[in-house]
Amino acid sequence: MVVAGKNNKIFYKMDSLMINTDDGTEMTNITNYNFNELAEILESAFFGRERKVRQAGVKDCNVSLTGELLAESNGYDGFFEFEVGDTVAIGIWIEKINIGRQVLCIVQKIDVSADASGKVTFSISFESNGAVETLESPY
Amino acid sequence: MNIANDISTLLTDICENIYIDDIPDDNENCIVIFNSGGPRTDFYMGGVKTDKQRLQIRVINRNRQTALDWCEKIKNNIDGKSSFTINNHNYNFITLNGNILNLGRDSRGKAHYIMNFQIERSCF
Repeated sequence: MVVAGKNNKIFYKMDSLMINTDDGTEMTNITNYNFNELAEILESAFFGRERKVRQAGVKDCNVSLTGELLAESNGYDGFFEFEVGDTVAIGIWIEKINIGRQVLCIVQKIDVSADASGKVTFSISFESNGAVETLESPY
Repeated sequence: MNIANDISTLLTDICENIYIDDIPDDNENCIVIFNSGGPRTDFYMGGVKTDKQRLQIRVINRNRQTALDWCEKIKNNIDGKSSFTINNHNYNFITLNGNILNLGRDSRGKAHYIMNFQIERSCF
């Protein structure tokens, strides 16, 4: 089964994790997201062992979004609700397979660019400040 | 409603005789808007998509200079137009690809000029 990217949803909530997707605000006009969960890998080599030994270290997560500002009635009354330095929970919801993940983050970067012959595009980066949790559907 | 129909409403101050996809059989001076395909639709998360349509606008007039004048008016009216609504449809922008192209005269002696536009419309 193919999961179409366009059926994914992005939700956010200021300052705390979401109880479920209804507890968050859906972001529109998103063209791409990356939800990266990482673990540091510690390597050790010992005399008498043929292979390296690896161990999981601290975990981390970062999220990035890109999108475009389109014609009116796109759901954005002003600009984004959050600013750089704010604490925001960001969640992704993958439809059809009903999986959601969310993480409390600090907004690290908001980038807006415009091409005189094209559209206004934006990209936002978030760095996690907590563990990755499940994002539930209310249904 | 079709994008060509929407865009035709922007040209009624230039010529009253505007047709979609059909050159009329009679001998009147007119503007014809042809649906000319376009690139694939852009999809966005959040339920939005952007329709992209190419339109070829053909100006047909017995007087060549008048035909050219109409072409310039069409350019002024719609080239670079952005963020507007027609018939409750939200348009991102219209751009002219290239410039005015002369096609000579037809068998009835009328001058033909064409311009190719690309239109983006957001659908929520």
